[in-house]
Amino acid sequence: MTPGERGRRYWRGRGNRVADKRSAAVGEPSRSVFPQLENLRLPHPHGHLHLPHLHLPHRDPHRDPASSAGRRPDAAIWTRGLTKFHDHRRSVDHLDLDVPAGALSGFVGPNGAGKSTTLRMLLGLVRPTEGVGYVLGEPVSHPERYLSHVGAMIEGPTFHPGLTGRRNLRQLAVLRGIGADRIDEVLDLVRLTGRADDPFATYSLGMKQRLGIAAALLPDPELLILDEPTNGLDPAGIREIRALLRELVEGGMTVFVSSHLLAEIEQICDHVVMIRGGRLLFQGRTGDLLAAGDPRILLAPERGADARRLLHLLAGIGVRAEIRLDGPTTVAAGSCDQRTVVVAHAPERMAADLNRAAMSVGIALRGLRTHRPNLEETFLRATGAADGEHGAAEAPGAVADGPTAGATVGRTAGGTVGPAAPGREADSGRARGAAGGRRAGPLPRVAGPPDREAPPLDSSRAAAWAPSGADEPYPSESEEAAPRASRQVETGRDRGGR
Amino acid sequence: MFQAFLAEWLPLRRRRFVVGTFGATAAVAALGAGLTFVASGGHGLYGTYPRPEQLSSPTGMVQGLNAISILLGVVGLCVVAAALAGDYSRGTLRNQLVAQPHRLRLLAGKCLALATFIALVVLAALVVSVALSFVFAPIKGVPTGVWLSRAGLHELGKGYLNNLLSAWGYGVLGALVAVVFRSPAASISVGLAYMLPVEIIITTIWQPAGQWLPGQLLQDLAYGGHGYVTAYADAGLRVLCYGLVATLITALLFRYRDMTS
Repeated sequence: MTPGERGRRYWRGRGNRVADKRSAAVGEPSRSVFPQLENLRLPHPHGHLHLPHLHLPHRDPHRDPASSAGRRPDAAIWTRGLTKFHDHRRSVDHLDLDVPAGALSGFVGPNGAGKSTTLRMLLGLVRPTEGVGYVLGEPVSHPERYLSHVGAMIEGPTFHPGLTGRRNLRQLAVLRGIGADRIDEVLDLVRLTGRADDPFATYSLGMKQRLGIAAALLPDPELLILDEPTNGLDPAGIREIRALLRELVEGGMTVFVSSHLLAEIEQICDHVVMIRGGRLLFQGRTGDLLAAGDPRILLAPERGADARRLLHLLAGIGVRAEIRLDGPTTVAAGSCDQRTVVVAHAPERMAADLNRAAMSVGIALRGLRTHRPNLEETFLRATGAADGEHGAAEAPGAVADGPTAGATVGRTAGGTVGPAAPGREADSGRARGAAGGRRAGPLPRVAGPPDREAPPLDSSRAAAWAPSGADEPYPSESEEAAPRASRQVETGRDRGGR
Repeated sequence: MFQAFLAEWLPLRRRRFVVGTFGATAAVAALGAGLTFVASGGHGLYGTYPRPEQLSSPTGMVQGLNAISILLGVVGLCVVAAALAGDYSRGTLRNQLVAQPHRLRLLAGKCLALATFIALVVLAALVVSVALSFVFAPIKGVPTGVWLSRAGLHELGKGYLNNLLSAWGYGVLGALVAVVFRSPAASISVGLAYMLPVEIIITTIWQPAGQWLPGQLLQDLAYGGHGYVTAYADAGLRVLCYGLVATLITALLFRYRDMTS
């Protein structure tokens, strides 16, 4: 079975069973940001709980045959409890990676998240302090067993500046025992043949990057690990590399690519691993992660005065919503003009029905558009929440969940719409919970303009827009993607008091 | 290991590096040979220059080479430290370790290539020095009849080996400081600072230290045990011990230290 076949089999049948078993058995000290995704985790809110991994011995785990008992044979990269201390600081903290064979997997995380240290451990350059890891089925403590099948470029292309590109590749080819023909092949693959005999020092950043990728491709690897491969490339170069990576994956190669260009990751990766502070936030299909975000429908009533009616209407049909203004930060409520937008937290497929509902009560919409969070927004929400920003959501006037909360529009007195503090978006659903169900005022507080909207994400918010199948004809996208997620959503609603 | 040896030769064969290193060595060798004959019989700061009768003996042909043994050692230290520490600082060692994860094999291959390069450098110095000795000898009236005798050729070989051992000793120190400091500038400056001013100052203040300090012992070795207080065998044994310890530390650090930079 080729790596590609193994990977495809993974996608067809595996789902999240392994993750289910793991979380049940080990009792991870983490909680979900996106309740639909059980493998999206954050550090424990009360500090770091160091719970021992039940299946991990503390010393030389690779000598214990039982330590690899739970290892998936189709995983290109598999780690459990992978930890690295640097000067009494955890760079990587009990990281459990499952990168399926044949996948094009993205590895994202903020600066200092531990991406490079993780990659170094996978390549045998850094020894893990704790935990086990397997690459292509071989333990990371014996990199010589698998590195002949691994190509890597980490932390940028590094070569002798005085040697030509070809001679730099020649040096690595000699070390690997690869013939000179392969050098020409990889140079051609990255479109660098014309400058191959120029010194590396004369290369542009993009050309250096291409040479780095060529070096990684030299052994015709089963697993390709790339760190920021599109750094310094022009748009055409980025597109070429994107196509190249896709081509390699289609040929059966597993590609694990770290990048800060989240749009790139979103475009090319079918699997994503998100870490922060050395800990795993999410790993799984990119589509699952995006679906677990906060899709919105932006409804612009023809008359600003209809915004509040529209808000009530949406609450009546179980859609959490809020009013936003694109205008100045403080606007009298009565003068809400055509810049008023009602933001409904609902999936795209509800758009037509919301339009019909508005029309049925005589509200004309001058605009209606959908907004699906991209990976960058989702990433920032997840990593921002990990910084404790979600604490702001617990501030007075900005709490609670439940789709029907739309009825409790606003707590701002006097009908004046004021600016909201960052992270204190006064969506109607939250307001209800804060008030314990009381209707406190005529209008909601208003957050910033749409392009600045990035409310901190917590489980209550993520649950709020996702209705149950029983009384709501619009299952969330993530429900379709992950059946387990829907169960969690229902639980969340129960807690919310419906 | 042989692959690592061949791979290391690619950067060593860079034209600028080869021309620079061998050009400087040739210049130094020419200077050494010239001064040896010009100043023969005089007194230097750290000893006497060879007398004319010494120059006319079978060892006369290598006196010019011996005069620059310290500089050959400096070249050895700089080449090794620059190559190994440069791989760390440029990040090229990362690529090499991914291509050859057997770290000790990689280190052994690199060191073998560097040792070969140093051997060629010393050989080049020997060739230049001997050639110029034949030029300068008639000028100073030094007879060269015994230089090409069997005894002369034996002394020539011995002189080459002794200077080579000395340069390799400096190279071992270069490898140690390169692996410890992982920066060419830091490793070369620390290595040279220790071998030259520090040891010389210590020996000047307390002469018996010269029998135990590695730099001084390497000088003894280069001179074939002549002219210094420590016998050749003693110097060789002590240098061997120092070399083994330095090699062990270098190997352990290279094998087990994380590639974090």
